[in-house]
Amino acid sequence: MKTLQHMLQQGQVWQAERPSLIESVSSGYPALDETLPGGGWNLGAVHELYSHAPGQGELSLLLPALAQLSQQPRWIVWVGAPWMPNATALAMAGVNCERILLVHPKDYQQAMWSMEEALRSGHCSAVLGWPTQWHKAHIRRLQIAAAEQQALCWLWPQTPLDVSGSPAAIRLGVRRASHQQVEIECFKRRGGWPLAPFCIELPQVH
Amino acid sequence: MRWLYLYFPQLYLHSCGADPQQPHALLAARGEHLLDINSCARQQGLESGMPLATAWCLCPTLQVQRLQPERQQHWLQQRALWAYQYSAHISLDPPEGLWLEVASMAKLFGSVTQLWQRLTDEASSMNWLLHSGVAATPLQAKLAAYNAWFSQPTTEHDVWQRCLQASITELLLPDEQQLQLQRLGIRTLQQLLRLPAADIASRLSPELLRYLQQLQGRQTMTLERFKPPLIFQDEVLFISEVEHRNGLLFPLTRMLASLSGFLWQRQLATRSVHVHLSHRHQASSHWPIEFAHAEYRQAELLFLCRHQLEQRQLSAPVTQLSLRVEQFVALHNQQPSLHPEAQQNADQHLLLNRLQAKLGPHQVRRLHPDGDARPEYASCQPRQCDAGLAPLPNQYRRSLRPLWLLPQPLPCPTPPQCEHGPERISAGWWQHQSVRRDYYHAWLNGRYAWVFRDDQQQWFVHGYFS
Repeated sequence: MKTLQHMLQQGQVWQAERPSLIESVSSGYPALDETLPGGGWNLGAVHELYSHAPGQGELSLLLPALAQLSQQPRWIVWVGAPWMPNATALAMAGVNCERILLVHPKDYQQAMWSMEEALRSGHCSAVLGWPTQWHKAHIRRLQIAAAEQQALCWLWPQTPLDVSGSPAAIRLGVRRASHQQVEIECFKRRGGWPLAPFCIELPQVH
Repeated sequence: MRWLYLYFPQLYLHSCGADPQQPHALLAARGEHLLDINSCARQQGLESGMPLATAWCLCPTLQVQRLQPERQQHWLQQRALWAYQYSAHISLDPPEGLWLEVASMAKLFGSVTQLWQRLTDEASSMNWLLHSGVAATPLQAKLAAYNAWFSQPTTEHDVWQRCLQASITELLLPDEQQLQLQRLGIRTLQQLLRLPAADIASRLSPELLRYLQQLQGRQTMTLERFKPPLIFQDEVLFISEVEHRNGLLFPLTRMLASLSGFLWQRQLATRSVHVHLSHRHQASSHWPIEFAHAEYRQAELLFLCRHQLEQRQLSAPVTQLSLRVEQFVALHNQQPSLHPEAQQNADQHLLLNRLQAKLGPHQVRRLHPDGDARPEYASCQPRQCDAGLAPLPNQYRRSLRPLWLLPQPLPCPTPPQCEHGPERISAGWWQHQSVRRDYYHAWLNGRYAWVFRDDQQQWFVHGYFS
């Protein structure tokens, strides 16, 4: 009974009648906010996003949150981005580019070191990473580092989805359904069941 | 005024890194007699002033250093720089002593005793041999330090009483002067002071009279003030060569600690540190270490230098390590602030510095929207991260831009169906890199791409919408 109380206090058990204790940043898409625990991207958590290749609308999903986070005097670190982010497009979406730091690691070790260091430093509001490998232990380290500093972490592992489970709080699959529609599949979310794929309408595609 | 005299016995042998467990001796700059020996050599029966041949007979394992006067001067200056945090009024007393005026600093440290306590604690944490003396006149302080009379600062009266009891050999007089006094039957300072001043000047020497008057404080001693240069240089000499870069880390830690103190006292910070490594058979190597943001904290300096060292290889074993900093920036904007946001702004640089130190300066960039019409120039990635970014140009063309740009436009087949176009971009003629392109949005391999057709009707993909 004590353990249950403890778990309830920590917000680890989802209760329908109670608002969640998880702190979050609204994703800007009501349909997505409804599915994510806490009503948005969870602060202090790792989010894994899977898509078969970049350019599936995965950045547009983040833009409203990034615009909001970039108002804080903290970095948003991009580690190992597949291509060059377009500053003009980001600025048009309201993201303050002064906060963005691009890290080009030479290998997987450097990428993981940079992400963990950035999360742990407490001077980052968010870390975006494109790791070339996926190891449970490393994801767990990132998850702990993010939780310590209440920072957001989005990962696009360049590997297929590992169905044996992940320490990440949320795992989503992202696929562009049509020009302005993105199909999202929720593989894992804390305090909820996985969901069937659903579509989100993007107001503007960047 | 109160004077603190710091006497560093075996300064030369200690500074050149002689192992205290091994017998070491310092040889005079000219001639073949020992100038100084360490305590291990003393246990083997050696004495300073002994000829080298005798010394080697007594102790065959003795290691000998030849004195280099400029190096000795440099090491004393290093100690003076260190002592500068305790007093601004410092005078050098070559070869192994320093005078500090401490009465003016008593208020800051609480009392002279507390100042002395902190100073000796710090010296012992660095394993320095140090004898000190506090007195009303510089010479009394020097005598107290050389003879190690007191284990902690005492009253002026006590020091003077002890001085009066001092034997002639304790007074640091030249040898012939001591002999002369002994022949007169004078054993202590008290006996010497009973002689009339005029007699001392005429029958002994005017220098002795001046010495006695300075000792009693009747005549002020002119001491040249030490002025610290605005350049930081520190060096370590290795008696046995260092073959791995990890061996450099320990001396470097100490050097960075003194650099940090140097910067903090002057309210400065630095963005570049120069490490010079001397080799026995090769030209010395020079490792410049640069930071993205000016830094002064010891822990951060060490972190940054360590990561930069990890990326380098020694070309040959190292005989000498020196650290030099010539360029400084004012610290005023780096001060810890009470305002949390300003503090966070300052702390941001920490992460940038750390990432650049570990990964290299070219691998960490910032994103900078530029007004250039050509997309590949519109988001440049400046390496220099400290320059404040220019404000965004206000007039964006309200046309859609993709979030991902390819580093170089890639040739692609003619897209089956184009949307949103054409949007002509014609620019760059002023740089002889003229571009004339018609941009469209199109579906390519299941992705929504930003494609263009150039003058030669060739199709390229330049970015992807995401």
